[in-house]
Amino acid sequence: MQLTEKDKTSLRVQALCDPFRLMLRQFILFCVLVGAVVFPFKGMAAAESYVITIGVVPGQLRYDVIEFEVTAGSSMEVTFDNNGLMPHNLLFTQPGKAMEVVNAAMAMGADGYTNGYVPESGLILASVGLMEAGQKMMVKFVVPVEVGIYPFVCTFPGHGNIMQGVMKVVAAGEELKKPLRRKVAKVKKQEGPPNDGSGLTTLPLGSVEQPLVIRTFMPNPIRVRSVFPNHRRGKPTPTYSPNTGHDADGYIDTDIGFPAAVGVNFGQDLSLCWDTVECRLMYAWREGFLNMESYWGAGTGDRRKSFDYVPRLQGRLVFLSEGASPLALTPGVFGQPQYKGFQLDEKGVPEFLYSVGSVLVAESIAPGEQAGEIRWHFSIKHAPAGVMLGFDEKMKSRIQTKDGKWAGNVLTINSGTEKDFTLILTAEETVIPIAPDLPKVGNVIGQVKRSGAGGVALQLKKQALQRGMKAYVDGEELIGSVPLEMQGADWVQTSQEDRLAKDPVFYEIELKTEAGIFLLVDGKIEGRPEGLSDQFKDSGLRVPVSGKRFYRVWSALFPAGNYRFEALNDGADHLQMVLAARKK
Amino acid sequence: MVFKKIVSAKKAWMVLPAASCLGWLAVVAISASAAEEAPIVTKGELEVKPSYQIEEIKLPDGVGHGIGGLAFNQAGELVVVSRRTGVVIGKPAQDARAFEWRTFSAVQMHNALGVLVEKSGALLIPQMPELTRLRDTDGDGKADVSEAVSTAWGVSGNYHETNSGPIADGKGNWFVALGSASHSGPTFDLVRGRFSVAGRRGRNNMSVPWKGWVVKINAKGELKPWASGFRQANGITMSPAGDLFVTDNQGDWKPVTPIYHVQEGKFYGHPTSLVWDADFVKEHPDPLAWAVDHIAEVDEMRTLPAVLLPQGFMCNSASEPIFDTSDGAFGPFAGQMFVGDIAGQRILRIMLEKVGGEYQGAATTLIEGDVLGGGNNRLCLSPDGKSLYVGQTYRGWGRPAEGLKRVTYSGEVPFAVEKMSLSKTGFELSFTKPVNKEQAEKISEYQFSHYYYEFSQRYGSPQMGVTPVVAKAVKVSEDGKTVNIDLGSVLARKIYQLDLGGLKAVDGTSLSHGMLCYTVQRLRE
Repeated sequence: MQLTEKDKTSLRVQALCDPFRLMLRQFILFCVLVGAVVFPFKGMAAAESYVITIGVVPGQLRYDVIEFEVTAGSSMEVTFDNNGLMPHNLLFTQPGKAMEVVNAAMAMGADGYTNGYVPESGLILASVGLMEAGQKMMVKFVVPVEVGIYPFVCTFPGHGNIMQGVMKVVAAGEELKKPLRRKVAKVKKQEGPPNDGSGLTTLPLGSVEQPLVIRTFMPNPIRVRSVFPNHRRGKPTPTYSPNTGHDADGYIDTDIGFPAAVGVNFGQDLSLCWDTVECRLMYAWREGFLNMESYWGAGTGDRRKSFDYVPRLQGRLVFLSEGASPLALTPGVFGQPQYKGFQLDEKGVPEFLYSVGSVLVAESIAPGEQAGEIRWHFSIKHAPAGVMLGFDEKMKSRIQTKDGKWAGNVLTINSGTEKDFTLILTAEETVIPIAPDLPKVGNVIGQVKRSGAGGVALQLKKQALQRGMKAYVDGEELIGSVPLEMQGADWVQTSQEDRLAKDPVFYEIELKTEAGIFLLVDGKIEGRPEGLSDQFKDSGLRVPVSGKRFYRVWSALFPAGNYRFEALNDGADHLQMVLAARKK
Repeated sequence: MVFKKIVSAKKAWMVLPAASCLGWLAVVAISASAAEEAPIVTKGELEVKPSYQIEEIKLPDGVGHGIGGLAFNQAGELVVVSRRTGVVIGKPAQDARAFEWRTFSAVQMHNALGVLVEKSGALLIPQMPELTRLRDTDGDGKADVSEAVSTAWGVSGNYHETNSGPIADGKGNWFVALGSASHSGPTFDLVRGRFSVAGRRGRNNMSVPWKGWVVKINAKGELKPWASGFRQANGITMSPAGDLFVTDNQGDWKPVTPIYHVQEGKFYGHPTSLVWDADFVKEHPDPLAWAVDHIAEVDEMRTLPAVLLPQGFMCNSASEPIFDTSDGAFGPFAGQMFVGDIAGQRILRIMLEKVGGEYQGAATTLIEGDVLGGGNNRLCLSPDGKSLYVGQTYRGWGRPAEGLKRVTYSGEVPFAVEKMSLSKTGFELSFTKPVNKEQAEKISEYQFSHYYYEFSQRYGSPQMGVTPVVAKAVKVSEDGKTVNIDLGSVLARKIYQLDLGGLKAVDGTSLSHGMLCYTVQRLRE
């Protein structure tokens, strides 16, 4: 990767070092090997062999195949899939010799188990030894040339007299009948319980008269890190194979949400998310509440979306927290808040109770008297020197209150240790639709241009860096969870093809303002990539990408201006540069 | 019906060494068909009144999905906590469809697993993020306060981190079992509590504090770690003698579903939980990575389960355990433990005894079948002890079943093995009724085998080393109620499975359930 800047600085990046190339070759070699194993195998199976899978009826001493036909002298592949609950094996015997083989297996005594209950016998055509529950194995053999009825049998002690099936060998040229299989009862999918009338919905909704309070995972539309000083950060973690007990290739992504917040809904008028870790109103929205289908499943179902189950917001955001808690300026407020619970008032509105420092707070949020207004009430005890609430300019313009005095953006609720006061948050003129757009975070990158032979044009995605976007103009890989610092950044979608370019490829970008630039570099490169300018620091952030990879994020602050980056073009499979920028 | 086929299958291979091939075939054919067609309880040819009647309790519309807590309050009303509808309270009625229900709290809890009724009538409920106390302060019959009694554990955002309990210790504290996360789901970018990357590694993992632990919480909400090494303890209970038991679930480091006697400071096998043990982490910063390479040492470190419940035909996913405190009102099994199977259609009965100072014992089936259904997740006895209420859910996995069942003892004593006890060289069986002595003296009536499950990081273990065992001698007591079986010797660290399904009582009654699995961890001295 090379990085040069036309006017101001020059950042020279050397070509990749050799060990890394070697690693890439190994990776490519591995891909080729996988191909070599899979494709010829498939071809052969389709062309010549008779292929069949024999399973068991779980909980019974039965194979799922009663009988199948196969042509004399042909080759065949039998996969024995022990999908049952106990150990079984599978032995093909000469006609009429099944019980003889069963008895021979029995005679193995103590050696039986270790030898899979497969006795040494000329009566056995082929066998799959003992498969524990859940195991499977394939065996290939040549079908006898003699037409006849050849049994297959499980010789595990006690199974043999019941657990048998038949392979019918028919003359060449005869049409083969489809295998005769036992019906394995499938677990019926339940639409709902017998007593389900049902009143169950994945779109729960309260009303002003009967507010709904729910504890569940809550979505998090807030992009500003400073709002969450009391949470810790989850991190992507190596995927793991319980079979080997070691890490596998790739990472498990993190998802975005509040683990311990409370959702409250007053029908179409107001919904809110109050977090018990920050002890703070996080955001509010209108015209809907939550769609729980991703977490609860459709209907009465219960089919969670595996890695994407955080409930979805419905409606339009009307309030998002920014910066520190408004109470942070109040004397006596310090340290981590401690959530105590909530009490419902006579209208069913929850009043959240918490302590922070020496101060005790009861806080409730409900629809105001005028449409679109939010009534935000505080009752505060043990504040040694009055209450001071800090807001930004925009929030200040939305707050009406009869209590206290403004000094700049700080509202002071006179002195005294016990205070009750109400803020009326007026409706915002333009509310933010929740989907599909994200809250605006800046307008940083101007023009982008790619120069170099051939290739695909760059795409500038404004305020767009987020989970689920395609990583490249010309690839299918998707970006995983994006750290808060980078969410919604302007983003230059590059071409995967450029890594194969023979001649240098340059990306030119115009920074309209001083901005942080993020370089996303393949996670397999540990430490600073060769030649990367010292200006770039390892941010410690990681961005997973589908295909079990992740990027390490290098970041630096640049003034406004035009910059030129040289794309990596060593022909490597998976080192690729992704560029994103965000206003400082 | 499915279960019976399994029984006959087991019988088949256990009969094997005791008979010649032809004789063996004959026995298999007879026993298989008998098991297939026999009604649950027979007396000679006559069908008799079943010992247990099972009814479906009608719940209010919308309630009944994901029942996570069942308890009776001081007024004799049934408290039902469900996943999507808060808490309802019902006044029981003779008629299963005529319970009078009212909503106690419409606040939806986050995957509650358990409920404890306090003396004040308040409810203590363990949700994913907290131990919550619901109180009705104005006496209108509805909870108006949701008090966060404790938030002292972490929450990662993983769907699997459910917590069960609480169990009062009688001194103002509660035990809660904190579940683990699954690698089949994410954690969030924001978590509550410290996040450990080493703790997040693994099949079932513990990336935030005290996951995989049984903890003790005091009235102030402070948490004291009590015992480690659990995977997903769905239930926790205290015996009448004051011993704490949990039912954990099969999976990684849990070769098969275990029931543990939980004691302070002990470790129960899942090494990832040790990431929250500061002393252990000093030596092994990544406990899972260390454990995978030192399985024998971990096996040595762990406290063994009291009872193992074989997968497939006994239990795939255990409910909360309860002790039969009915003093006989629920049948002849007073003092024994009951455990439901979420994945199967049965309630198990556990016979515990102390051998070498530690609990171990046998498991058998109490009731089973389509009428009961699957999803058996929560259990609770009625105040009069005559009925067992079963809260069902298929949340997660298993056979579809949702709702509430009532199992009532009819007074008809079932013919059953009341107690299976380890002797020096075999087992002693005591029966609820005198056995047919002539039949009971035949060695061939007792089909034994032993096997084990392999402890490792893999998800569950198959049955290993299945070995048929032939009894050496059988001795029936004068009164016909006790049978001593001499196996010559007994091996430790094995499950002994006994099938005696053909045995009849002197009055002709068949055994209600003829298979027992005794977990031999220690031998009689």
